[in-house]
Amino acid sequence: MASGSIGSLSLIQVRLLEIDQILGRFNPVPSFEAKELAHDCSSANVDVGNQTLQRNTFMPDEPLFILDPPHQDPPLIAKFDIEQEFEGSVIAIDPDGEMFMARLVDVSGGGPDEEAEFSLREITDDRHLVVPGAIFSWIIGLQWRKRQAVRVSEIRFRRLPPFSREAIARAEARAHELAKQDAAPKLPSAR
Amino acid sequence: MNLPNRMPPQNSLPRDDEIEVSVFGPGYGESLLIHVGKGCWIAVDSCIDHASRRPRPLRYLEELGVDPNKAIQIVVASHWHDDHVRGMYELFKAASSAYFICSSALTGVEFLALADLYASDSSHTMRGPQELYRCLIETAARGESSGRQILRLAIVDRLLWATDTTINVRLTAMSPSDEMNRRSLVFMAQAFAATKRGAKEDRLIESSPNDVAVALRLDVQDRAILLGSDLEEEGNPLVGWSAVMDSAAAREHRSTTFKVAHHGSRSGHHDGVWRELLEHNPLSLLTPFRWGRHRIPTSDDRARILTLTRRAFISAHPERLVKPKRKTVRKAEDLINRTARNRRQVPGPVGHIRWRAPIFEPTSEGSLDLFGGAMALADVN
Amino acid sequence: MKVASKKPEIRVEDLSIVTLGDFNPKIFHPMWFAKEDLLRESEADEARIEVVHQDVAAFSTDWLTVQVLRDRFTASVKADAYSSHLSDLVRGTFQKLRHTPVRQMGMNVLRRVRFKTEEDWHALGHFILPKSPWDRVTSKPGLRSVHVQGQRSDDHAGYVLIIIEPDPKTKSDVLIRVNDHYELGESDQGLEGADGVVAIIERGHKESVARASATVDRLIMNFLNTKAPDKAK
Repeated sequence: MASGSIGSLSLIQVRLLEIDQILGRFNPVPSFEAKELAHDCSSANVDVGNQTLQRNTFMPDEPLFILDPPHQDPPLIAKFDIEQEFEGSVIAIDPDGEMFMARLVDVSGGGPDEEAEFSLREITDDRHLVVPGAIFSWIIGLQWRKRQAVRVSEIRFRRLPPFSREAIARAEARAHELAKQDAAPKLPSAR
Repeated sequence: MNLPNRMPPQNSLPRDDEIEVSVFGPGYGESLLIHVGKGCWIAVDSCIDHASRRPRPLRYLEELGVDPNKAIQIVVASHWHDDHVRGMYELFKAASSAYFICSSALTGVEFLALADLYASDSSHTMRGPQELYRCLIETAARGESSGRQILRLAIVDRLLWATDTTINVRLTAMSPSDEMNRRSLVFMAQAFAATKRGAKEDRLIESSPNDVAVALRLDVQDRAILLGSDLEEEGNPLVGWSAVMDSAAAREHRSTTFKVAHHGSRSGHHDGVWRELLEHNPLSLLTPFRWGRHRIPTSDDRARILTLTRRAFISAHPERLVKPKRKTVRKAEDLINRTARNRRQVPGPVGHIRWRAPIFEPTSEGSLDLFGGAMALADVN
Repeated sequence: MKVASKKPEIRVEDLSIVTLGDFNPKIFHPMWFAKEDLLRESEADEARIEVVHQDVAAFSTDWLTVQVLRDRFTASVKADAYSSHLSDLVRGTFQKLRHTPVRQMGMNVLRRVRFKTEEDWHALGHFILPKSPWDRVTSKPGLRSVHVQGQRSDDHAGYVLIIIEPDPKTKSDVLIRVNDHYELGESDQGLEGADGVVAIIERGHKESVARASATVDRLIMNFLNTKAPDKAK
């Protein structure tokens, strides 16, 4: 398959940034060229002039004239090869013993549920989230940073927002429908 | 108790004129399958056999060569707690001819709305409401397509099912009482109101005492079996076992077999049940419950039950913990074990207590088989 | 004889949630996320901030990248392991900013398909873009990028877009992106604005990621089951 660069298309509209404030931080398209992006979806890397801009964004259906987004460093964790994953829920907390007990669902292997105890000292920032019923992911595997792999065990509590108004309204509507079932029993006979 | 010297195979069918009560329990989970004669079965609750990842009662019927489609007449969800409903939807879906029975409080708008929300949740918790919700949707769909009434709501003294063929079978609800229903509805309304307010702690907590528990009496010809679900007692005459004692159904005949309530716990015990609802020395069957530090029945519970009957059997040892099997490469496993202490598998292999007796010989004790980790309660130490 | 000698390795390259609307980038400082309990405090403290300005905000943590322009919000991770935490963060953000005008959203999955041989890598190109129609049109036609739009299988307004691009630097890898695109406010489901973003993520981010992965798997399976590539003469 051939490789090459994508040249800029005709200029129709330009949106200006205050480049003098941000030039030192990242590399914008130098000549303020804009691209017509009708029905376009961006590729992972875009060659413009002598620069390669990384883009991992979705592009809209309608024509939209926009400067290429700034290059940005990706997260440090480039890859995480999961060897075992659990979803945990907190059953009980022993603050004096500095530990909590959790029920674990084996997400990666589908094995039977487990229970285990964890030290609260493992949970620094998420400490306020450790309440009965709280859910966390516990992932063990090889985490890749800067081409180095380290086996880690990471516990991360879910920051689940409350259910949305739309979800609640929808659930309530469906519940009303289902509750309409007439359930007064007649005396059935065996078949 | 007639325990045969040679164990019949687990996959042997009961005779058409034989009653069978099978209790399945892996240490966390409970399910019953009852043969009421002529190839007709009733399923009460569901638990998972982790080896096959399927509902254990369904697996058992498959092992017997029984088609659940035609054979299962009734599926009962005695309440919505996780340990009693795992695999319930798959079981009910396979039992395509069955009626579905649950507490009327579980068909209230608030519980259904909460269950709908949890069903769309991506997490693996709150499976109890999700399973029940799916069953209730299925009952609506079946009712619509067949023109029959599939859902039966349990309330004290209600006759839920009866047959008028050569074997007389009656299934009567002993609970919930009106007050239990009222309390359940209030609890659900409060939980849903909290959810609507956007409360962070909006997860439905498995409440105790269990106000939605459906206790049943099953009469098969001249035999009666009391199925205690997780019904508890708090000393209030309007709820729990006290309310059952006051019911019309309680004043009918006594039962000779008892599925002991709430895993044999102190909170599930009522002296009056043993004194007035059960025959002397009833055959008593129970499953253990392991949750966190709880191990039920405790040694006190076991001692109490054994003073009330010599014929008590449990589906698994309540305290014997199973070490989890290795899941991944050794280095990862080592890291898992350094992070988490006292790791144990919650459900063990599914134990199975099976009692069979001739339907038309009500004085026959029948025979009892123990499979997997099932044992006599007196042997638990 | 099958077209490819060995099954390629398929792995996660990127998961992202992108919304298009009207934003105020300068509020999207990592400390705002921490204050709203959408990120850990330590992560906000240690975040690598590229810029936070009225026209653009961009920062990354160990596991997450956030970039906000006046008309686009993007949050992305490079590992499947953080998929649920990504959805929690975006859902929580738009729940807090529920008056933000949002017109479109995409839940996107980028997979890297790595072939064992260069021949297999070329064979995928021949499979996606048969070469006989290009006979005498141009010489040595080669696939650079293919966009295929498909219909949604649900009732939402929008579409699914699949983009396939070889990675010419490697001569073994192909990047396949699946964009699960939603138009907000136009469907009869009444999912509008930020509430629509929250509802869609709440209902279906996990399923969207699973569908996207299945789409890539199916495409590769179709390729592997092909007998002979349509190469240029």
